[in-house]
Amino acid sequence: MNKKSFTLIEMIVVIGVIALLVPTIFAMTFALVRQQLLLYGYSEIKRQGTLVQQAVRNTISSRAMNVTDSTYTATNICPPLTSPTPTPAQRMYFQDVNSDGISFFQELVEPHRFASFSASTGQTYYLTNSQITISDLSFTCYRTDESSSPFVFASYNTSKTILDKTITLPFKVRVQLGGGYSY
Amino acid sequence: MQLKRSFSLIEVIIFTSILSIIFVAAASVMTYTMKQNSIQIDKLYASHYNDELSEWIKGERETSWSDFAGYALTDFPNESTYCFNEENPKWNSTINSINECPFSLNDQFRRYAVIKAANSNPTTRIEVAIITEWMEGSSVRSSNFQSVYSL
Repeated sequence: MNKKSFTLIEMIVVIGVIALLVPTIFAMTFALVRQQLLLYGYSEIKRQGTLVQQAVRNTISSRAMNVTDSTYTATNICPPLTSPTPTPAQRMYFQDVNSDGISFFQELVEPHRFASFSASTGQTYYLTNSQITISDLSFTCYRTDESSSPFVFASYNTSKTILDKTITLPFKVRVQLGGGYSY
Repeated sequence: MQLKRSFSLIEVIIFTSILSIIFVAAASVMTYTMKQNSIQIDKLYASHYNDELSEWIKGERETSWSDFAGYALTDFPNESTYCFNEENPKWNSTINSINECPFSLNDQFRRYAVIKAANSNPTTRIEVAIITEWMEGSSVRSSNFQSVYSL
């Protein structure tokens, strides 16, 4: 019986070709998946960052009456613009139109989430989920003159770590208190 | 005696060509998808830059309508074009051609706003078009955002 098997050279060539192809395919697949994850991550930090921006803008411009201290009692704490730039704070407190106290801040335990607090209900509401991180949150406020309603300036970054890469988008919002301000 | 027949040359050629067509197709689909993904990421950045500037302009408008109107009236009755290539937007002098606005925002983008006052003395309506452009190979891509501000 003339049974011919593969020669050593043939096997080496076949294994060599496979050894070249498989890592290439894996590398391409991995790069593709990584990029898809990056795209998902970017859309997620953008979506949640914009949500926070809209929530802060809408709340302050339609409900906030005064910028106050942590006891929700003091008023008139925003300096006129000619004063030195107010010290940035990580949390800002407001009195709203229903005399409720509201505040915006960043959760202090990992992962940092953007939160709003209502003094009347004692509830904390999260505006971002735990898949993304809020960092460098800072608030300042100022008035353009003594009698004007204060402007609140908030800036923060949203970020997410995808495999080995951390992606970040900066957000800023500047809005004037609109809930019937009176000094 | 068992007749052991090996593959003919034609069979081997057909097999290899089918395999290579599949590989080439798969590779081109992957390359295309990766290119599209990278364009999507750039688009997302561009739309973020547009939103950032739009938010800033909203703040400018709230701070002082008359100052804002002043910037819109710089080249009145023509529209005024401003380049905003800074991470923190600020008013620069107007530009006559968009070529004066280099692709320097994040080393890849250029962001400018075309601001047009509908009337002067007093200005009651201002139209703003925000455009972020970037190079994709040899072609320029752009993301636009338009809004109207009224007194």
